[in-house]
Amino acid sequence: MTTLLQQLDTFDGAAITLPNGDTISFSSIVSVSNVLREEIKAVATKSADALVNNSHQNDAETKDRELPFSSLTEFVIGLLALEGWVEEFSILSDRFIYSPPSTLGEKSAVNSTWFLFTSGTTGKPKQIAHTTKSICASLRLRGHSKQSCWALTYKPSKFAGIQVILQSLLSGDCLVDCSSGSPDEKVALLKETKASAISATPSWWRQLLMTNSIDSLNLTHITLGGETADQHLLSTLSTCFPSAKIFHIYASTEAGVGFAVSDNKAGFPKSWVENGVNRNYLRIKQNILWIKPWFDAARLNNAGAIECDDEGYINTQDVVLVEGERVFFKGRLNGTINVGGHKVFPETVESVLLSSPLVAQARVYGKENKILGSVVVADIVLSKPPANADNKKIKLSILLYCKTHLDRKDMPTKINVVDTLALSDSGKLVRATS
Amino acid sequence: MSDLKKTILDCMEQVAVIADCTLIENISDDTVLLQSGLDSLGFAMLVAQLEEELGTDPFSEMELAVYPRTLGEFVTVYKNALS
Repeated sequence: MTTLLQQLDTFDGAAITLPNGDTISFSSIVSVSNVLREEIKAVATKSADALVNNSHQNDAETKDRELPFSSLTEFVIGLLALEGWVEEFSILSDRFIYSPPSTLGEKSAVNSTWFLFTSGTTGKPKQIAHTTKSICASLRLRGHSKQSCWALTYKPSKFAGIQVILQSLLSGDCLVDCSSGSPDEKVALLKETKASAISATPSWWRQLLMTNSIDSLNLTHITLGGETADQHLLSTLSTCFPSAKIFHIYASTEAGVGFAVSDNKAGFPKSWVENGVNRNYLRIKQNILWIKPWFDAARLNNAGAIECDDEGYINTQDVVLVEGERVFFKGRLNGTINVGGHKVFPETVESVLLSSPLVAQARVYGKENKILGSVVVADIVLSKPPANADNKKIKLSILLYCKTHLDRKDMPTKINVVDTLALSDSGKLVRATS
Repeated sequence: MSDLKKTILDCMEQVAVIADCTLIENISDDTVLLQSGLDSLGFAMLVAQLEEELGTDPFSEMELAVYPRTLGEFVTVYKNALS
């Protein structure tokens, strides 16, 4: 087998562009990663020798080791040094944790097991196991094309971030870290680095669309993931970037990449539930989407880490609705707002709000109410607020718009106009209940 | 009619439209709230709208749950909260 590091051996040119415009070449990355490998090996050998020579060996020397990172470059070098070299490594937000390699002296690569953590959007983060094969399965590698500069909008340590990093590196493309900064700073960086491919959450895209200079970007590849992509956003992106290929991806840390939808329509074809897609199989049970990935996720993980049925279908906790030949996402099962016994999906209400031309961003949540238990509240960012706008009138007209698209109990009882909506580290809307 | 009562009645009319309710005619101080045409969801919306108009939500600020029975009692809760 070929390690990720070996796959980069023949590439030349820039692998990473730094915010200051400097670049780091593939050859530098490969050579520094190789040096790091040797250091890992030297430390492990020293520990093994000490173990043989000293029966009172300190336990600390055989324990798991840490490899910290504080930048995209350090992350990439650490990942390339460990993959195929150590049998297991975990990826935390700021460091790798790995077991010292047990195959010292052998030249052949090992099949590393990767441990990633879920974002924990609606629960406690879980540790999920992968292999290099399951991580890389959905990458679309085109050889050393040097045609794209990929913008990384996710944290490198997350499943989605790793996908972008490997997609770029293994294609010989250039990578630029756009995971921090204000929307305007991000656009400036994207423009300066001539980024042509961006993978980001719908919330991230909505923020970007609100900046004035987005038209100056020349994008050829647009990917949305991590949250439901609504029709309004897909249509807007398609109008702004007519020559770009647009994909919305359904993926999770547990099941890997499920599928990519490329027809610029919200939801996905019902035929995929019947026939499978991308070597994965789908099933809808009691309106919940279950997915059976092509790799044996249940066997890779400890019992209980992933909820799956006897046939290996994983419970995605995503509630879906079949309409004609299309399947649409309604929201997360454990994220509903209980309004007098009626379950409201915040994502469904947000989708209606976002379809109004007045609304650029929306966050819907439950507010405690003495009579109904909870009521629905929406924070919105207005699309283009006119000067001297009367917010009361705008809110009323948005409520009347919602009335024509939502059931009574799904209606927001209150709309707050805000300047910005906070996004989490994973680029998703922060969903804290107030 | 006091300004406060007029504000509340105006809001009730607006909420009735949004919440798809039909208000009864001739609403007075003695009208029992739950017979006014607004249901519990309508009242939740009314309280939210009034917070917008008057800058206060006396129900979320009260430690003890007080449920006014009539419109007159409802107006008094707001009057006390604003005094």
